[in-house]
This record gives sequence, structure tokens and C-alpha cells, in this order.
Amino acid sequence: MSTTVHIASLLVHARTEAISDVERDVLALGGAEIAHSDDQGRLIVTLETANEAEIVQALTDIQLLTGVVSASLVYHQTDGAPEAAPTSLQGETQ
Amino acid sequence: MSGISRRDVIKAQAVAAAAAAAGLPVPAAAQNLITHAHLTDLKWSKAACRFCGTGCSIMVATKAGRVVATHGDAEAEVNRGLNCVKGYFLSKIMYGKDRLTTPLLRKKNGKFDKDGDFEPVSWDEAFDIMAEKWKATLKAKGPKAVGMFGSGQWTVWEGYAASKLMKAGFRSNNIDPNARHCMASAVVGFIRAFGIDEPMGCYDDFENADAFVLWGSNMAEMHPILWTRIADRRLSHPHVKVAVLSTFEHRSFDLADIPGVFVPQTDLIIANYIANHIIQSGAVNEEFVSNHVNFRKGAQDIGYGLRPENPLEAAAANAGSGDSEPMSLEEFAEFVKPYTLDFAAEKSGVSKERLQQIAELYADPDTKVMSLWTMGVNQHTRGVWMNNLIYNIHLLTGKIAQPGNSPFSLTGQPSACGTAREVGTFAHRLPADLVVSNPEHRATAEKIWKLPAGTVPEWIGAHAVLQNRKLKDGEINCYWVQVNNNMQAAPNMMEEGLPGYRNPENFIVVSDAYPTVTAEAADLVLPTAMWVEKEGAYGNAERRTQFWHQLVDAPEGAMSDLWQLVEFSKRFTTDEVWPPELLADNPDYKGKTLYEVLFENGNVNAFPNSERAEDYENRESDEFGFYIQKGLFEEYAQFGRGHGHDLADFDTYHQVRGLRWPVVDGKETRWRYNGKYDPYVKEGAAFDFYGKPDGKAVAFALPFEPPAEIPDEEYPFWLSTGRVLEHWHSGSMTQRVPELYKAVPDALCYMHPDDAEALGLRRGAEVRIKSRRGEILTRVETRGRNKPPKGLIFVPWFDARQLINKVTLDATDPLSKQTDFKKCAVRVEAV
Repeated sequence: MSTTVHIASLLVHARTEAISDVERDVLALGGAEIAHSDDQGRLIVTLETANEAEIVQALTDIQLLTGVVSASLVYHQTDGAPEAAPTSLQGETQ
Repeated sequence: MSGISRRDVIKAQAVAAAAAAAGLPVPAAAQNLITHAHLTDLKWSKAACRFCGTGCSIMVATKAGRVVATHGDAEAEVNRGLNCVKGYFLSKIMYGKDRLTTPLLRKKNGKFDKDGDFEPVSWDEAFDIMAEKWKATLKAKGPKAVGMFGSGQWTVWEGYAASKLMKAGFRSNNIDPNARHCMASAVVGFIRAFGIDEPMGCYDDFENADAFVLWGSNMAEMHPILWTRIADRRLSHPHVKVAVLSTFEHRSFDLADIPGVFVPQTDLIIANYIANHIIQSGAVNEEFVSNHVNFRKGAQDIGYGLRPENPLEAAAANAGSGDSEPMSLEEFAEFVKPYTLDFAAEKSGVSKERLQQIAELYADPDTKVMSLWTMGVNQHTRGVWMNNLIYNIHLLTGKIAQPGNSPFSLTGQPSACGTAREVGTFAHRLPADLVVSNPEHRATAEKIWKLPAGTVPEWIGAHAVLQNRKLKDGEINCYWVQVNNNMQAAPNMMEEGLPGYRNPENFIVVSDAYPTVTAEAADLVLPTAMWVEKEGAYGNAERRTQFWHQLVDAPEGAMSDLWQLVEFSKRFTTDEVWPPELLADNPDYKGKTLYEVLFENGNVNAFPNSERAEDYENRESDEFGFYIQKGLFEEYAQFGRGHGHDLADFDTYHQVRGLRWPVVDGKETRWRYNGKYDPYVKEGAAFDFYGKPDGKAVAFALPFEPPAEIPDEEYPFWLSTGRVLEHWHSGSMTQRVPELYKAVPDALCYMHPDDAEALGLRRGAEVRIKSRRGEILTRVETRGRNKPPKGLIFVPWFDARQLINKVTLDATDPLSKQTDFKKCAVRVEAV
């Protein structure tokens, strides 16, 4: 069983009038926390997921939330069981 | 350290990086990932992202010869540490399971056969058959029967080497980049209005503008990092307004203060209305106009760039004409007078109130406006006109070439500007805005290239769409495609593209990293090294030139496009490909290989390998025995230095996060044509459009003309194509990243719920989309990120299994020859 955790941070821009709704909706996503938000519509969101696909899914979900204007990835690191990079990056191609 | 606290530390690090990217206070020590203990065994290097034209700088970590991680470069002005989802997974694009590692040739019974199956062959055998075909064709039919199709994803020196090999080596101008499909209308618009290609402003305009107007662009998905800069400006400065114009509602509308969904093609009417509004409301900047602007009336009824026998083309009075005649401001005012608010609202479907709000943004002298556009304006049968009409608005108000006042043509490819345009890989171009049709320009090229006068041909080569037609008609017989997936990208695939590639008279070579649709249609496939598997350079949309080193080795068997081009040149002698007269007049060139005359010319081989950076590999330079990238770049840079296109010296670019040309005395230029910023502006002048002989920019009077195809009873829907965030262009790279594939696996037909209901279609139902040219099967989506109005459907084109270009029309802008992928008429049927 892998205990690897993927930790990522996102910079999210939201419409200022919608910021509390966005905060609520982001927190409703599993593994997301809000590290910072301000009156200029900026949120820093951290994600803790079991794999990279969940990061992408969470990013897509956040981008499509009402009130969110943009969401960008800033940082990503894995922690836990050491991953052999070559195999973890090989992935399945369709 | 326990797992929990360790994760807290990592999380803090992640937050600090995001804060730094947002410009929020952050502990300085946490800024750079390089310092992180966990990652210190990785080697981090900078590289330009190889996706869109934004030009983000990416930090790339390598370990044991593989790229293992990437992150946004905090030192880069463009993206300031941010990264979009495609950039985030950059490292994975090289590691798809179906990566090509050997040349593949169609064979039967041990030898080449057009109807055979692909079999692995050696590079030698691949080049043997290629050279045999090229030589036979050149001998039988001459240089017009060979062609090449390249890309805005070529590195600068690859595009340069390709252009030189074709135009000076094979003496054929039949070379065009896929940028023809994306930037050609922008280019012609720039040349007509300013005499020099590419934007006068830069990304610094984002932080200086009071208003942003998107003309048909969906920046939120297509240029997400630039969109973040706009969002930040809008949200932190409440006076800032964002207007979004499009033929359907998309994610950029989320930020829109003034949204407007218009009927396809009526952008021409809206732009003319805004010009009319500016004039009628007395908002013309008369001092600017009288000093810096000429007015010209353009030819009308110019056709649709279809085959000449097409009835639409035959009926056009001035098919393909870019002619114009001088007119006065007063005559220009009369010309736009019919484009009233009432007329514009009626035709476009956008409310009067919103149209007027947008017009006022431009008219108000205290509002600095940035206009932004990409494919909505460029992929348009009147794309050049639309570019000109947007410049008209900025010229009438003098809102141009100043911080925040900026008509800004965005690009879709990483080096559409740096390679396709600046290097001049188009059928009519030479480096630094020179053109093949001008004898002085050809002489300049021949002098820099140390080649005999008369080497570069004067005829304009076949452009992208014409190349496919000439392949089908058997007029181009040897054809080499690099770094693009044109079978999927080019319009009207079933009637033009595929018959051309499979024409028994033709030999088609495709260089690619993956077995794309285009590769599958070829006769010979060459496996290619990609991105950081080679030393490279790209130029982004704001004139920024960026370099990277080779960071990993390509898979065994795959070779870079540069190596392929230069190595292939060794197989030809001048006697085989140049006319006897040219050699008789220049006997020194007799009996030489093209490699010797093009690449061992004292320029390209001027720099020894000892000048390379010590800690990076360089496969091509090892192979050829000299620092070939530097030699090609320095020879190329001779074209532009002292002529408004100055590039810095080669080594500088390996140190900096890019520089915006012209780079004069080591300083980049942020706003061209403006005396405060641009060293080329004549002494004492506030503005100088020095690309034109009299220093004045040109505003063009151009009318609304209808599109090539309009929905009717039989084909009642407009079809627009485009991209989605997660995939880039034809998906040949992004579809190989599992996370991106899973996020958006299949292209969909986005349509209005009422239209779906009227057709009895539920969300997810399978449908046939049919035009007069072809059909595809796909599924209906009535929700989600794209919301078309009634009567229009949107289908992205990244999906190789649902080729929407079987359906699209190959109507082009008659001036730029760029295809209109944004509008044709289709029918939607339940399956």
C-alpha cells in the first residue's frame, strides 16, 4: 500500500463578491485547505491528494466553480513512500 | 520528524511559493525550490514551456537522465512562478509509451512501397530513400515540386536551418509553418498597418491598463497565466473593466463586466461601429492622427481563398486583392458612418447598452485599453481586416504603443513569433521581415549566407492550404513535415489533406515524436527529439527570446529536427540541385555538398565546441563538431541587428529569463514606436512608426462582408472549433499525459440545451455532425464550461479519434491564406 501524499499549492483568483461562496465550495472538495484569502479575490489553496490525477481533477473542479476567475498551480511535492521517479512518470498512455 | 509535521512543513513551503507568485509577503528563504533539502539531489535548469505562445519560464529538474519535475520559474517576469496545468505536466510529454525511436518506412517485399506497411529502417536507409526521391523530383520537375511544412514549435535555429535548406539549398520557397493556420492574419495586419510584424507593446501592459477587451479570445482557458495577470489587475483595481466578445459564452465570461455574444462575422460590424462612435462623439485624438496616421481605403469583395473554380471565388470582384488607395479622415468618417449603434446591435445580437459601453472604453481619453485577440480574429475569412479594424480604433484614439494602451495580438504556439515569423519560415518571407519577392532583400540574404547572387528564388512559395491542394493535384511530390500534426489540423481533410498525402505520385516524410494522424498518413516517419532533449530557443508573443540547454538525452534512435535537416543536406551536391548557369558563374561552389555551402560556410561553424556550457550535453554539436546552435543563431541575428530586430548575443540568452527585441546596447524594448522607450524612434519624436517610409501607421477603411458559408435549412448550425484548457492543439503531446487525458478524454459537441431538446437529444447522446464536406460522430454536452447560444455548436479539435476537420471548410482569408476554423454550416443528427 502506498502512503505517498502529493501536496500542491494553487493561486486562485475569485470575484471579490463571491469569495465566501468560493471558500465554502473549495473546502467542500476533499483534501483542500485555504491558507490565505484577501479582499482582492486572491486565495492560496493547498491540496493533499493520493495521486497527481486528483490534483488535476481538483484544479479543474476549482476552475469551474462559480465565482472563480482563474486557478494556477504553483508548487508540487510528493511525500511519504519514496517514489521511483521513472516509473511514476511513465504513466499509462491512451 | 513525524509524518504530520513534515507534511506541515511541505505545506508551508507550498503556501510560501504561492504567496511569492501572488506578490504577497513571503519568507525569502522559502521562495526557491532549489534550496529545499528534499530536492537538492535534483539538477534544476530553466527552459521555456513548449506549449502556448505565452512563453512561461519553467524550472526543470533532471535526475539520472530524465526530467522528473517542473515548476513555474519564480524569477521569470512572464509567469512569476505560476504554471498552468499543461505546463505542470510538461515533464511527462516526453515519456509516452508510444514514443517513436526508429525511422519507419512503408515497405512490401523488402523495399519501399506506398501501399506497404510501416517497417523499422535505419537512419541511413531512411535518408537514402528520401534523397533518391528528392533528387528524382528536383531533376524531373524542379524546385517547385518539393515542399516542407514546419511549425511555430520549431526552435529558432531549427526553423532557420529548414528555411535556409529549402530556400537556398533546394532553391524552393515551398516552405510554410503551421503558424499559417494561427498567425498569418495577424502578420498581414501588422505589415499593412505598421510595416513591421509583432506587437508594439508587451505583457507589462496588463498591469497598466484600465480596461481589457477580448475580441473572440478565451484567454481563461487558452492563456491561463496571462489571464491570471488580468484577473489580478481587475480584482485589485475596482475601476478596471473587462469586456469579453465571443460567438459563444466561455470561461473568460466569468470575469466579464461587459459580456457580448455576437453572431459570427459581425465582429467586423462591431469594430466599425466603435470607430464610428469615436468619430461621432468627438473622441478622435486629432494631434496623434494628424502626426502619425494615414488613412487608406481597402479593396472590397475579395473572395474566400477557395480554389479558383469554386463559384464563390469566381463571383468575387477582387479575389485576393489587398490593394488600397489613400483617403482622408473625413472620407474615412463617411465610410464608417453607416455602422450605427442600431445597425450594430441588430446585426450582432449584442445589446445597444453593451456595445456602447465597449465603445466608451475606447473613446474615453482617460481609460487605457488593451485589446486582446487570437484565433477568433485570425481564423477568419476577413482576419486581416479584423486585425486592421482593431488597429483603427487604437490609432483614432492614439491609444497605442504606451503602457496600458495596447492592441495585443496573442499567439498560440511557443515560437510562432520567434521562429515562424522572425526567422521567416513562411513561403514569402526571409528573416527579420525581409521578403523573397524583393530583390534587395534576396541580395541581403545571399550576402549573409555567403551564397551566389540569384541563389534564393523570387517566386512566392505555396502556403499551407495551397500545399495540400498541390499535393492532391500532384504538383508537389516530395514533402517533409516537421513538428506538427497537419493532417489533424488542416481543414477539409477528406477532400484535400488525405488525398494529397496518399497520392501515388507523392513521397511524404513526417518527423515526429509520436505516431500522430499525420505520421500515419506518411510514407516515411522520422523519430524526433523534443523540447529539452536538445538545446533550444523560442520567441513568445511579446517579442521575448528565451533559450534553454539540452537537459536530457533523447531516447536512443530519436534525433532532433536540426540534426535531421543538417544531416540530410550532406546527401546533395550543388551540381545535383542548382542550375548549371548558377554554377558556371560561380565555379567555387561546384561539386560542394549543400552541407558545405550552407552550414560549413564560416558563419555556422564559426564557434568551437569549447564555447559550450560545460555542464550540459549537446548532441547536435557533438555530431557536427562545432557549436551549431550558436553559429546558426549568430548568422541569423545578422539579419536584424541595426534594422529594428536586434537580438542580444547568443550567450546572454542562456543567462537571462529572455529579452524583448529590439535589444539595443544590452537593453530590451518594452514599447516600440514610442520615443520614451524605443531607441529606433527618431530623435525628439513622441511616436514614430518607422516600419513605414513616412513614419505613419495606416488605418484601413474596410466593410462588413458575409462569411463563406452561412447556416441554412439543410445545415442549420454554425460550427466553431477551438481548444480546451487541458489540451494543446491536436493533443499529440497532452493526450499522452494520463492525468490530462482523464480530465478531458473526448472532444464533445457543446450545444444550447434548447437546441438539444428540439432535436430530441439528451446530454451525452451520440450525434453525427455533418457538413457539405464530411461528418464525425461525437457526444452532446449541454452543460459545462462552454455555453453556445442557440444555433451554434462548439467542438474542440484536440481529439484524434473525432477529427472535426473532416467537417470544416477550407475557406481562408484571401490575404493571409489562413483558414477560418470558426465558422461553417453543419447539421446535427441523432445517431
